[in-house]
This record gives sequence, C-alpha cells and structure tokens, in this order.
Amino acid sequence: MLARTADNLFWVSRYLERADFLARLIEASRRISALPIAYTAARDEWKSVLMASGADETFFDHFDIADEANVTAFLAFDERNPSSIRNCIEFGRANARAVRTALTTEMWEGINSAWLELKKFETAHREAGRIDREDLIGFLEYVKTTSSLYDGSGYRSMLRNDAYYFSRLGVYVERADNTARVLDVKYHVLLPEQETVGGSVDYFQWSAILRSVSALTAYHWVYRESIKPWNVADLLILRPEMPRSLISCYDNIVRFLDALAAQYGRQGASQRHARNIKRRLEGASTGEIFQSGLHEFVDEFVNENNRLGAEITEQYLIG
Amino acid sequence: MRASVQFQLQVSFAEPVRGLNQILRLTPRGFDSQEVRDWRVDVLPDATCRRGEDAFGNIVHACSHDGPLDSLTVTAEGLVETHDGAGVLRGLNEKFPLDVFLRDAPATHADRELAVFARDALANEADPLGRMHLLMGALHKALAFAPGETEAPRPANEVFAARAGSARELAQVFVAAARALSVPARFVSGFHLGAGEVGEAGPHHAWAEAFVDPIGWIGFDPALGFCPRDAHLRLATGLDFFGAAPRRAACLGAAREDKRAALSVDAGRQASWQIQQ
Amino acid sequence: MTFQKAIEPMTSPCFDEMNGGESVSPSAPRALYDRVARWLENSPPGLLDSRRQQAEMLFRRIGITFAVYGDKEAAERLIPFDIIPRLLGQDEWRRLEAGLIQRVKALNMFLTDVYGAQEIIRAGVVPADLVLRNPAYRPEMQGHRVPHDIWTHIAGIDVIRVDDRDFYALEDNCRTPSGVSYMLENREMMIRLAPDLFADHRVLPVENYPDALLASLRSVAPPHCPGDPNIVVLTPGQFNSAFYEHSFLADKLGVELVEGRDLAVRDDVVYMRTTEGLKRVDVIYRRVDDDFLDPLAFRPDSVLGAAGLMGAYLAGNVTLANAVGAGVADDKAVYTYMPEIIRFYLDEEPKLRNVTTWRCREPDALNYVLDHLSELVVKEVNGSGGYGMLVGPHASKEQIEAFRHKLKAAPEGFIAQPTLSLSTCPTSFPGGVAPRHVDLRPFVLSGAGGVRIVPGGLTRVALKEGSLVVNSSQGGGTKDTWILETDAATR
Repeated sequence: MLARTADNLFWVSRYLERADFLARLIEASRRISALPIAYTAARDEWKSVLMASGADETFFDHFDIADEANVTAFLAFDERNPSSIRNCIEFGRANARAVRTALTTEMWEGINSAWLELKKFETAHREAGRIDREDLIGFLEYVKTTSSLYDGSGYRSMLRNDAYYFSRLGVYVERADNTARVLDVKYHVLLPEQETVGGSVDYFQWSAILRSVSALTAYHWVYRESIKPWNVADLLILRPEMPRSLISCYDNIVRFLDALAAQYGRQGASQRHARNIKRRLEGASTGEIFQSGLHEFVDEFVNENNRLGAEITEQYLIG
Repeated sequence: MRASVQFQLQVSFAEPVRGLNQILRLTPRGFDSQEVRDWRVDVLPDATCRRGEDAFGNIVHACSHDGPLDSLTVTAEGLVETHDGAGVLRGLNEKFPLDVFLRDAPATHADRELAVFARDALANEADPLGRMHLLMGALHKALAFAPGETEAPRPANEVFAARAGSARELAQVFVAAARALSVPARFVSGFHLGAGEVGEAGPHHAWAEAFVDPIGWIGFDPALGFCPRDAHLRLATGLDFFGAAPRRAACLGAAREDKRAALSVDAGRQASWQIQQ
Repeated sequence: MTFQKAIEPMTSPCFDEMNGGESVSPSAPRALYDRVARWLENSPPGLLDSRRQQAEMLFRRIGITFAVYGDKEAAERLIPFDIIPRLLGQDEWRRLEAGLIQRVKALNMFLTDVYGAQEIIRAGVVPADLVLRNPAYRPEMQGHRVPHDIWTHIAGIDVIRVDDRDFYALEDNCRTPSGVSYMLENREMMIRLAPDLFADHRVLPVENYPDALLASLRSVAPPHCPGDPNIVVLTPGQFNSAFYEHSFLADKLGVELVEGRDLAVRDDVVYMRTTEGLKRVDVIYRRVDDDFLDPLAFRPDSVLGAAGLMGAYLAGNVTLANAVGAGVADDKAVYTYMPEIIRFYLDEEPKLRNVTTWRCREPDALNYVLDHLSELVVKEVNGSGGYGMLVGPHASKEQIEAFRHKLKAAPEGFIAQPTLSLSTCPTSFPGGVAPRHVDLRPFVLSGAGGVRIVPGGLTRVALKEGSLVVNSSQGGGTKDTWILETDAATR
C-alpha cells in the first residue's frame, strides 16, 4: 500500500486514541478537583493534567493560571493546542479523508460525524461565548463513543491486511504513550513511602489515575482489594490482561509488527526494537521497578516508545 | 575564439536530501558561428545522465539521485570554437512555426507600460533589423544591468518597473517587448567566455533572440547592449527563462542549499584543439 | 462573417423537458414523463421536502462535498441534489450518443494533428495563432505521439437542448472534466429515496462506468508495459474542490489514490512510494492540471506534481490520462471551429449542433457583439466555471459598460453566443415544484477499443429562477439522468 496511506491510517488511530484519553483525563480530574480539600493532597491537579497531556508548555504561553476553566478549554477546544481534542478530531478527520477509500464506510462515517458534531459544538460555543459544563460532558461522552466506534468498526469490518495492522499500531503506540504519561505525572503518589502520608488522602488520586485509563473496575476484578499504589503501578505496567497496560500495548505492537513482517516477508528495525521492549517489560517486576525508580523507568519507556514510533515511520511510512 | 571550457557547479545541502531530480541544459549545439567538440556532462555522485532533446531542440540531460545526498557536483566541459557572426543564427534546425514565439506567458508578459516603451523605442524606423537594434539600445539604456543571477528571475513587467535586473531578467524583458511588437522572440541561456566583460555575473549569461525578416533569428544582448559575439556560448533556447534554464532541480526533503558555480575558459588549449582537428 | 446559420432567437416560454414546448399545454406532459408527472401529482405534500433533506443528510454523512474557491465559510459545501429525475428516451439518447462519439473522435484527431503534422493549420481551417498561441497548447508535446493517438481519454461534453429535436454541444471539456461521481451517486440516491418511481421505469444502468473507465485506462498503458498495468489516480489533495470525486473514483476503480508526493521518478520511470518500497506506475489518471504536473517542466513552484514526470512521460514510460496539452481542444475559441474540425477529419456533417458563436477576434463579429451586448452571453475564451462571463439580459447597465470596456481592450479573449433558452425541467423547492434550466454532461471514454459512453450523464440545474448558469461553483444543483428503455415518443 501507499506509504502515505499507511501513515494516515496510523495517525487517524493515534489522534482518536489521544482524544479518547484526553476526554477521560478531563473527566477524572474534574472529579478529583471537586473533592473537599481535606480529601486530597493535590493542590495543582490541573497542572498535572496539563503535564500528562503534554500540553503544559504551550498552555502557559497563553494562560497564567491552570484552573479548571482554562485547562479544560485548552485541552478540549483550543486550536492553539496542537493536541487538543478538537485538533485531534480535526487532524484525525483530515487524515481519514485523505485515505477514505482505505477505511470502511462505518469508520469514515464515525469520524466524519464526530467532526460535524464538533463543528456544531464550536458554533454553539462561539455564539454563547462560553463553554457550558453540561455541553462539555456531553461532548466528552461523544468523543469517547466516536473513538470506540472507530476502533470497534475497524475491528469488525477491516480486512486483516497491512491497512489494519497500521491502524492498530497507531492505537497501541499512542495508548502506551498515554498510560506512561499518566504514570509519569502521578508517580509520586504511587511511591511506597507516600503511603505514610495516610492512605485516604491519596486514595482519590489513585482512583483518578485508574479512571483516566478506564481501569477502575478492572482493578477490583484483578486484585479484589482496596486500591494500593503498587497495585496501580502493577496493573498499568505489567498486567497483560489489562488492555491499557504497557505490556498489553506491547503484546499488540509486537503482534501487528510481526504480521506486517510476515505479509511483506521482511523484518526491520521496528520489529527488533518492539520485541526488545516487550522482553524488558516481561522480565520486570513491580519490586524492581520501584527499587530502581518508577520515574526513571517510565521516563525511559516513553523515550523508547517514541523511538519505536520513529522507526515505524522510517521503515514504512515514508516509502 | 577557440577555448577549452569547463563549467562546474557544486551544491551542498545543510541536511542530506532524500532524493533529487534535475534536468541540465548545459550542452551547446553547433551552428555556423559555434562549433562544439568533445562535450560531456557529468554528475557526482554517479548517476545515469540520459541525454535527450527537448521540443525546442535543446540537448537535455536528465538524472535522478536517491538519497541521502549531502552534496552534488555537475560538470560540463568541452572544446568550442566561436566566431563573431553579428548575432545571426545560421545552420540551426528550427522546430516551430513562428507563432509559437509570440506566445504570452506570465514571465514574458508585457503590460501597457512596457508595450508603450517598446513602441516608442522604434521611433519611425521601418527596417525590421534596425527596429530590434533600437529596442535593444533603448532597453540597455533604460535598464541597469545588475549582475548576479537569481534562481527564479522576476517577471518582465516587474523588472521593467524596477528599471534594473540580471542578465536573464533583462533578456526576458527584451522578449516581452519584442513580442508586444509582434516580433517573434525567445530566451537564450549561455555562458560568457570573455573574462571581466560581464563583471561578477557568475558563469551564466543570458540574452534574447528575435526573428528578423528576412534574415532569420538574430541574438540581442540587452545586458551588454550589443549582439552576441564570439564570447557568447549559446546553450539553450526557450520561450522564457524556465524553458531554457541551464539547470532545473527539485529535491525531496526541503533543505537549504549552498551553490557555487565556476567557469574556466582556457584559450591556451588551442594547441590540443588543433591536434584533434 | 464566418459564423454559421443563427439558431432561432430566444423565444419564451422555452422547451420544458416534461411538458414540451409552448404548443403543449402543461396538463398534457410528454409521454416520456407521464409516470413522473403522476408521481409528482400523487406525492403527499412535504414528501419532496423530506426526501430532499434526507438526501442532504446522506450526502453530508458520506462526505460528498464540494469546495468552492474563494468562499472560506462554506469550505465544504454540498451540491444541492434534486429528487425529480431528468428523462431521455432511448431514441433521443441514440442520437445524442452518435453525436458525442463523432465529436470526441474528431477532438482526438485534432489533438493528434495539432501536436503532429498540423495539417488543419496548413489547410487554413483553423488559424495557426489560435492553436500555437493558445495557453493550453503545450510546445513540449510537439512531435510526441501518445498511445493509440488518444489524448482526451475522458471527455465531458456539455450538451443543451432548446426543443425536442436538436442537441447542442455547448462546451467540450478535454482536460479533467469532473462530476462523474455525482452521476453515480445520484443514481444510488434515487434508488434509495424514490424506489417506487425508479421501479416504475426501465432505466439504463450507469453503474458500469468505473469498469469502462478502467478498461479504457488499461488499454492505453505504455506499449512495453508487462502484464497488468499499475494504474493510479493522481489528485492535488484533499483541499481540491473535487477531492471527493478523486477518492471515489480510485475506490471504484480499485486503484491507489496518489498525491504528487507519493510519486518518485527515477531514470525516467515513475514509481509510487509504498510501505514495501518503490513500485512502478504505468498509467496515471491525473486530476492535476498540466501546469502543476512537473516542477522541472512547468511551474517550478508546484508541489502537486512529481519532478521528472514529464521526462518519463515523453520517454513513453508512463501514460497520462488525459494527455498533457489536451486542453487546446476545449478552448472556447477552438470550439467555434468544431463543425469545420469534424468535417475536416471525418468528412461528415456534425451530428451535434454548435451554438452560434461570434469570435470577437474578427472585427465584424466584434462590432455585432458590441451592438448587442444586452442580448448576448459573452465568455472569456480561457475562463471556466462560469466566471468572467456576461449574461447580457441579466446584467445591469453598469455591468454591461464595464464589460464593453474589457471586450474592447482585448477582443481576441472573448466569444459571444446568443442567450439560449436552455430547456427546463421540473425541480423541487421547499414547498413546491417549478421549472428550472438544465444542461447535461455525458462522460465520453476513449480507449484503444474505441469510444464508449455509459447511457446517462450529469444533469446540472440552475436553481435560481431564470438563471442560466448551472455550474456547481455558482450555486447550481444536480439531478439524476434517466435514459429510458423506451423511446421518447412512445409510452
């Protein structure tokens, strides 16, 4: 297939996955920031949200205070934020439109409807001059639905060939990045010594982390106990049955890269590198990770994951 | 004059480019007052240079390079013998009816101001040859020749309004003015072999040709103010600069490039020329 | 004066496709339309409105949109679709088809000649300067032969009628005519939204157009191309007004939709960049204008083409459809010579009529035009899309005077035609049905095996009352065109 088509498919998936993540992140943070101060140690919740979304630097070019109104507006609708939800949908749709024929009708109509919805929302928003909370919640719901719809209809309707593999790779490379970013920003509340501060204070932080990657229910099913920080880290890094864990993402990345290699009859740097990352995750344990530093571990992962993205681009998407 | 001529262009990219395509019109054709021997065009790194002929009869080399490429050298060299033919072209095979050389194009479009200037320049001269000489003289006088070539010359109107331009820009103004007078005209790119005469213009030079009934095609050099002499080595012709450009290139991966071009003319090699004859 | 016999001056009321001419009263529709008339009569109020809204919703959801240049707000607009079909009987179609085939044959022969021996110029039939100084004439192509001497592989001939007898060719589009996706999508829409009406008729199918196009493109592959040629559609990209159509066609043809940046030319061979490296390309159905095809040959600032493409093309290693330089045949000034062109190459009388045209380059014609500006349509020879034209009867005094000025300054840039009373067809509006002017653009395919036309075309309708401009860029709409199995005269 055309290298550009593959590139577009890869990026549509990334953009939609990112939009979905941002929507969840905003929702989880709204909950936490609404708690009475006594219940949470977090004073700069919205700042950490910005960091997790990777938008902290650009944000302060335009705003002074990281409060709910500013951050939500910036993450959800701001054109100046390259990875705001609206830009994710705008770019995602532009990428999708360029490769319409590689998408199934359902996938295209899903993302096109989301874009039309966004336009409607933006018009209403422009006319009202402010973002209505209720509308915002509705919009975030819509974004999540769109992402699921795209994902699901891709899963149901796409031919299992390179187009599908690139589309999936985009999902998992982005998802791994998102999970790692949340861990990176919140690592301090997951460190064992933080527990001495008193469980209940960080409890809501932990559940917020789980919520932001939609893993709260999963947590209870996996551990059958109340939320413990090391379990949160374990779940999000090492649990293969948890679909947003780093290891699960890499299971899939390796699988789809191998499928590409099989179809094309040729391996490359990205296959080798992905396998390498996966091996390291498989060999790791929570104990070791905490010992050598959660922050360092996650940091390195983010870099390796980015490098893999660059290798996939070099190997397939430039042509 | 007889000379061994070597043109060399060196291009280096700030960052390696991923691929490059170029076409070169660096091979002079022979005609009555220009004889060409042992001419070759070469590129480094090595690539196939396919020699062909374009619709206007120019000899064109086309080549493509796969990246990464951080530098590129183009060489054109050979032996030439030129004569002062007062600019008259004889012995060239013409490919097109004259109407083609009256075509209007953005680069050689004459606006009202330029057209009026051209008409006024003719005074009441009736002789077609005299008229073109008057036109060349008037342009030479009105427009300052500013040596130094730009990659893409400005359109004729702009140059005329600015009253100054490079050789290729002045040549396009002449072409535009002549066509405005319904005289078929075309652009010529070439080298100027005489040292010093063209200032620091670099190796490239450009002039124009007009069809003068009944003599035929005659060269006019509005930058220097006279018809091409034996120091004018004619490379290619076209409707405007773009059709006769000595080199057109496009590369993949935008990159800043640094270009150095040099022309060495060795009239002392006459001896070897004679031996070859 | 050299122009032909003038057609009847504009008479009103004009020919209506459903109700016929003035001699037929509206209560007695042409037999061809009796089912449509009955359907309109029996449709409950509001049905047409709701169908129209449904159609709009579907079009928008599928993303069948059209970008209008210079109109940023409506960056993605819909072309209004009208649910009332435009009908032609098979006998009418046969006549039209024969005329189209004849015309496109002549166009290809003209192009072969113009870029070859130029006999038609030497014979004095078409003036040399009209061809050689034409901006669409490409000197680069002089002396070049294209596979099977086919230059305009896909031609869109705009046809109008003013009565139930003759078809007039209004304009030839030999470069990259668009609209065929609407022909196909409109049919799908009709089957979906007016199933009963559709079932009541026997409509000749258009859905095999992509197959026919593919066969045409395949047939003109470079001679040494081994086996199955690799065909691609080249688009300027998704911001082009017709991008939807480009992607639609690539999909229906089952070929890659490429942009210039997807192509690479190495040693006069064109490749596309794939996830598995470079893959050779043999035929390019290009929807990029000549000027932008190759920055080494044409506009140096173009990023829409591929550097070196022209070299590969001239070396015969790739076929471009339509050929570079084909536009010289659809020039509005060359149009006026079409009857002579047909006679010159085919030694036949033209089967489609040409609209009387005054060539303003001729002094007598110019004088006539200047005297009759308020009655005539004056068009720029090199304009397209309905821009830069004067519709005399609809223009204000100031507009006419402004145009008079332009015309006098550069008469050779203009032609003039009588304001034809384009036929009308019933068209639905919020709350009603009214006649609106229509034209028809059939798509004519030329390949090694000859000329082929799927029965139908794109009917464009001027939605503004009395308007004669049907171009989609000027607010025109479209209709499905049904060629019925029955003749127009019989039931």
